[in-house]
Amino acid sequence: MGNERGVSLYERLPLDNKEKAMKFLIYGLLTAVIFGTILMISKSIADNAGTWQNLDNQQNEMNYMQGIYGYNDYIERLEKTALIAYWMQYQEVIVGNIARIGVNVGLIFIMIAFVSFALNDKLDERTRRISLTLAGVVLFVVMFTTFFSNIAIFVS
Amino acid sequence: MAKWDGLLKKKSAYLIVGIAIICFILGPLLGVFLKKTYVYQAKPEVIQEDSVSGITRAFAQPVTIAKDQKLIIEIAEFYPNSTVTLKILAKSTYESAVIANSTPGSISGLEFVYSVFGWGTSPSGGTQGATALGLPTNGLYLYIEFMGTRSGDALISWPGDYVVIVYGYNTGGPTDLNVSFDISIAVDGPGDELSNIFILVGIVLLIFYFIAAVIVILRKNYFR
Repeated sequence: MGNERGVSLYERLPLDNKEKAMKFLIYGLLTAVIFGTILMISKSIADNAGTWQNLDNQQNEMNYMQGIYGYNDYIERLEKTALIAYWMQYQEVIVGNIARIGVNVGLIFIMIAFVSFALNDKLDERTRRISLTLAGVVLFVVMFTTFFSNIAIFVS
Repeated sequence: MAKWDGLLKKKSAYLIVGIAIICFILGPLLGVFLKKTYVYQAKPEVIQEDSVSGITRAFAQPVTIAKDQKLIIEIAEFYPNSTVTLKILAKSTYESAVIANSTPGSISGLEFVYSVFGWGTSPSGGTQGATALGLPTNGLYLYIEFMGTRSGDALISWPGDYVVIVYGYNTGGPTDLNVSFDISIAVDGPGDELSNIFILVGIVLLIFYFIAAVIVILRKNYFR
């Protein structure tokens, strides 16, 4: 690591190194998939907060009926359950934004990998063109997800 | 960065994830086992019939409750000829009454709620307020919650020192002077707080480890 000090970020890019570009592609893909999965898990937790709240409320009522605790403990748990349900919904904002950054970082690495393939004159023309197209597509997705909250197509 | 690399070693991973899992298991368990802290338990508790005429002869258990802390009393009366009454007094009221050796029946108790349990019972419908409860008149088993006073069925916290008193008489022959009942007095324990802390520690550990691992992997693979 020591000899890399003072080397600019640009100089570290794998522009003419196929192996390093492939590494960028694979790890970029992995990063995007991991953060994408986290995003979906977070969304699922938020979407199902209401269902969990109903389940916990039912358990709470049954605990009261069995005499495990009294009315004021029942009320306390109702309030705590509501708080946790709100947190389950709100965590999507925090986790979602962190995951979005992770996905975008992953996509940027994928894009760099494809640009590197496109700029590598040791590869054949066709591969370079396809790589450039794919880099463009990834850049398009990154730009859209950065500037817009979602992309939707309506057919009427 | 070298010291962070150690985080990815198998040993470190097992240790950190293991501690997190232990926290996730321990948290709810502590929550259940330390939900209540018992102040006094007796089965049976025996007092004498003269407790009706003088508070100094009544059962008295001092209890201190903190802000938002609840006092939970379970009292049952399944003994022949025993009739008991339970009240909760402020410590100051109790001490004044002890000096005068007042009759417990003449002292006003503080407001509490008691619950009647059963399948299909609605929690709000099964709860009532009272300042004194008699056994077996009001039931053979009573579950009482107290925090200082109440508004409807909800308790209002008045942190401070209180005394739970029980007095009663024996309806048997003139030589039967014992008045028996079962009682357990508890206050809210640290279970809920401990449970939350352990679960939070587990979550923070896992998030910290995940972020550290991602940073180490990214640095190792992209910029070397």
